[in-house]
Amino acid sequence: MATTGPNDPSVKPGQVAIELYKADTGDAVVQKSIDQGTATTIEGLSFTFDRESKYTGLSVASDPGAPLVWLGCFLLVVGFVIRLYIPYRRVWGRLLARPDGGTSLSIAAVGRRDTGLDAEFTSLVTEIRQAVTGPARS
Amino acid sequence: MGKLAEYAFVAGTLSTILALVGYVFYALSGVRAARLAAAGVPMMTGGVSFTAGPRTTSIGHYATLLAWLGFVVLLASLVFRTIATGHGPFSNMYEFSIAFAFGILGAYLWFERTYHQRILGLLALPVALALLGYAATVPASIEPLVPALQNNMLLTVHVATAIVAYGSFTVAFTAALLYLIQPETGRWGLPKPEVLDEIGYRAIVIGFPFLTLTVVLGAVWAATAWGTYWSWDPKETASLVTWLIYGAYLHARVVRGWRGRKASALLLIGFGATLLTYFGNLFFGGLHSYSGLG
Repeated sequence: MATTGPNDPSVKPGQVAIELYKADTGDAVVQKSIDQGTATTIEGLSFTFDRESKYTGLSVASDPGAPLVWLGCFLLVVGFVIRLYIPYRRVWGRLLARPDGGTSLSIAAVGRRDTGLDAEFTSLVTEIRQAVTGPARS
Repeated sequence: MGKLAEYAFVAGTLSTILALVGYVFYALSGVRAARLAAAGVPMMTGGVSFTAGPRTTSIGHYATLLAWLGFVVLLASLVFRTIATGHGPFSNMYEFSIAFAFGILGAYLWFERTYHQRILGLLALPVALALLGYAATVPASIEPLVPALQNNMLLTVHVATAIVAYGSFTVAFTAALLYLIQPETGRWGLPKPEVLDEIGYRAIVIGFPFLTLTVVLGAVWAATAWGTYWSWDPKETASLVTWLIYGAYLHARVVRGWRGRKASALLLIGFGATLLTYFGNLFFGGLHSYSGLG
């Protein structure tokens, strides 16, 4: 029989290492390797190493609702991307005939407290102004 | 390759330290410029938009270059480590800390490119350096993976998304901290409050979906490795708390219109929760105890 787990040269095959600690202080009292099947008395306590027992830890789980969770996660991420990267925009334009025969264009926009709106709106106005040829000035 | 990874780690750390020195001088030049401007001395402006006080741009430029160097060298370190270990460089606290610091540098540099607020580097780089310093104190030895971690694809993706999220949260934290410490009047040439508020929000907009992905992928992995997708492990619980705090931030900001101090305070709390999530398994044990410190 060989030791399982990390090999320790002080513990030979067929042996088990006993370490005794004082319960109140936690100090190590004694450390000793004993042979299999031999009763040994250490510090007035009797120890016998009968056999090594093997065990396996298993955790079993069932999540019938998991697909729903994944769907929710997917929608969450997609929703954030849509909400945060495609800002809400609405722009109105109104053309008015002026008494002097010209036309004036009024533009209004709503951006729901959106910080990027100012810059976008300004560049939109600039673009329109550049696109409109002729004497029209607002 | 393992040795090469360690050399790159040291080189990346040194580069980041030098970058931080550069950012300190950059900030000091800003304070000096602000003082001169207050005294009515005309100054050449540094061409840095958004900032109130002109600064010496060339120092800041070198600081940025050094930060990029640190970023690239740390990336090389992570790549070498991946080749040496045969899996993503995220399996213990040593690898994860370097990756976290790398993520902070990346997120910071991303925001510096967009918003040109080098002052944030003054706060973000020390956080990255603290993590690199921490990495230097924990065992760097390459150990075989415990069975639950032997899933290369999920190990890489699950933690990579966490790195992006944590890096973004760190940038949000620096913006929020700067917002909260600056006085109402006389801003010492610090970035405008609106810009800091905006950076904090943008960082969360990037980080939050990635944190969501981290948690979801963690659940997928837990379902395959442990049999249940959620077991209230300390790290799972901590990341849920973090997620809820940043979710509350987004909700408060977008729906309730929270701005400025209140929103910044939430970001600070969120970053505290992020750090607790990161280091939590050192104190609480649990199934995520792969730190290599046990």
